[in-house]
Amino acid sequence: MLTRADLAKYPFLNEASEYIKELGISIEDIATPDFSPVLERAEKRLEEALSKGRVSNEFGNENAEILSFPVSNLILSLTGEERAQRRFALAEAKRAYELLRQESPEKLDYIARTTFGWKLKKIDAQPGKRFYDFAISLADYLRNSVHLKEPRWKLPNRIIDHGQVYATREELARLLEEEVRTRIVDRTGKLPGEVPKLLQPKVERTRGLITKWLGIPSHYELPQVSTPEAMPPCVRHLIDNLAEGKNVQHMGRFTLASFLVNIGAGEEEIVKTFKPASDFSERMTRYQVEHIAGKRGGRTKYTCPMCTTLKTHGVCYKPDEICETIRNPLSYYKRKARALTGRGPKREPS
Amino acid sequence: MNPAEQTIRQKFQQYYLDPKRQLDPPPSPAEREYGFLLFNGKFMVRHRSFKEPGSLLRAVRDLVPLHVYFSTAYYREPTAPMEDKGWIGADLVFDIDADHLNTPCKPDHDSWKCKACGTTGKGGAPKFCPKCKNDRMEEQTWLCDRCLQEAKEETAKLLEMLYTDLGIDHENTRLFFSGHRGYHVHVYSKQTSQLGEEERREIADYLLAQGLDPQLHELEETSVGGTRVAEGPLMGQPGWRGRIVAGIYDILGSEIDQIGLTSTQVTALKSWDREDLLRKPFWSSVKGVGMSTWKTLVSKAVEKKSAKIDSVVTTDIHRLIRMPGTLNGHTGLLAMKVPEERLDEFDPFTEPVAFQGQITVKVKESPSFRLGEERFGPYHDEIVELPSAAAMLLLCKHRAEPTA
Repeated sequence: MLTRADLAKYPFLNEASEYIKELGISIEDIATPDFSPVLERAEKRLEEALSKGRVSNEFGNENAEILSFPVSNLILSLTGEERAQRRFALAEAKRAYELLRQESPEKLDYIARTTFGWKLKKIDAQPGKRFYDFAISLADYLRNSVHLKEPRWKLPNRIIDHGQVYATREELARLLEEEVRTRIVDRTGKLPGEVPKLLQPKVERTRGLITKWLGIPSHYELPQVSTPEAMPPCVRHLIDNLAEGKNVQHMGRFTLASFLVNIGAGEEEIVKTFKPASDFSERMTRYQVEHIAGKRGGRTKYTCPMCTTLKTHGVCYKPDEICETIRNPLSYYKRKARALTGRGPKREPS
Repeated sequence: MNPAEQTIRQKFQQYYLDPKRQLDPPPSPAEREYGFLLFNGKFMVRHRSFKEPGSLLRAVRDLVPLHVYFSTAYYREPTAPMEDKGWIGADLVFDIDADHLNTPCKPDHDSWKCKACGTTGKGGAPKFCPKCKNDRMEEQTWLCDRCLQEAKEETAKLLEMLYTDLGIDHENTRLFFSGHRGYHVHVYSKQTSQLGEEERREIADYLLAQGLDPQLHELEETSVGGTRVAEGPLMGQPGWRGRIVAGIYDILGSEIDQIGLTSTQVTALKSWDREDLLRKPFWSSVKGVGMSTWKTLVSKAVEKKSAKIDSVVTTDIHRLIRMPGTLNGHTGLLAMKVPEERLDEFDPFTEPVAFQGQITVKVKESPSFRLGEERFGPYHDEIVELPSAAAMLLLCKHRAEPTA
């Protein structure tokens, strides 16, 4: 079913690991000069992922493409840097998605089934305007779709028949992207046993790259606003998640940015908060923050979404007693800040 | 313990001590945590575990709890503190309770009081006190035929969706009457036991149709030969698509004039042949009925067809839930298994009756109610001799005191 070219595209597949085993190449070999293209490619994968959040394809040397992937994983796991592992996993998963979405239904079905153990059926259904190629078991669908917050992924907006969720080819590829990401995070998070000395400099170099692109690892600082302790649990959770390099979906980001804008945090402060995000782009973040602050586009300053909206989008997190009395995170801040300081916050939330 | 509690505890003890008594614990009983709410100061004994039903029954006879619970979760160490229990999985559970239903009879039998400012009102408690915005409410609820009938209907909808849409296996599903104002559905299955909180929230949202966007089910306006028509899903399509259409079909045949449309729209819709909904995905070119009206109809259809579960119960993967075969301390009625094929004929005011004999009580205030074939009340400051089950209901509901 799969060719070597496929393994080069999807080096996370079970077949790719088996292929390497059959070649009889060990970690020690990788560190020798004969395999320098592999090491170079492995480092490039890491550098691209850390700097741009993207990994390009180099199909010229298929073996190097296949072999370099586990080497990147190994180096990354040795750094012990969770943020970098998440960013790398996301970049590799996105790369895979771009290729997966162009594959035939047969190949997608095969990959989902053999590498990820999904239960799915190839179907040929057109209940309305759209054409569906797959029916995925509810558990496989949910495990991957819960991370995706766009309304189209929400279960009530899907067609479900006897525990099978209909999906198009593109949607299956997107769900597989999530599965790939999880798999890489799991792999890079595990510490290997024996490590050849020659890899040590590569690990050090990668640590340097991580510091360069992701900043010095530290416990997060709350953005400088008048009363940081007054932030509601959902906003704190968003900041925590970003600080840990976890992926935060659009609604979460919008909530955080609009919240910070409205309690009077400076633009620099807000952009800094987003810096640890696994897919951080300063230009995009700055643009969006300015947009929310009403300095661009329609010139409307956006307010923070209501709690009901946040509940629907899964942004609401561990609501506490104050949450029961308010309908918008901004009111939470206003109320708690008043309680903490005995007066109103310096800048009234709008 | 006050005199009412003493009487209740004594009757509960007699009930549990009956040599015929048997408990019917859930599958994998040894991997679960058990909890007992005791009479003494409403103290909760948690983190207990039992290897077999016999020892569980002994504990119940020993403690005589007001309420008996078990965890929907399976643990490696059920007796350890919460963070060390080692979660293995959890049943998928659903709770339908009159508390979450908007029945028109509530103002007749339910009332609330704000704990902060003392404001009172009739019907189900609002989320916030209308006067002081406080959220702490004291509620007085009552069991009534109508509320329990609606709970039953919601349960039937829930079961239908679980099987037809979500593919839940009949074999692994159990239905219970809660002994109070609703029904519980437990799914014991490998496929669902591993679902996390977020995944369960999606399932809850599906059943409630929370976040359903008609456009994503292809409700849209198109042009056919220059006429604008609404195009929507088709009857018989799987999941919410077919259900939306079925809901609209029902509404057009019944409560169409009660859903807030203008009389022109109602007339237009009534003159339209609703059978068209069955034939083609083109819903209409009914004059005066535009996209927004169709959207209103969709939201009414969704309201009608969704199952009003309490999503907090479904999404909590460490929840304690009432054990069937035990007495519900809110009523003195038995929480019990209901064979699904008997849901329709099940009478929650007859079958769960657990006590025989007569008790004389002094009733402060009680709406009228039925137990078995007999109607009782309403009562107001009077001493009455009642069948034990009726007296126990009033005692458990804090509506009466023992006389002796």
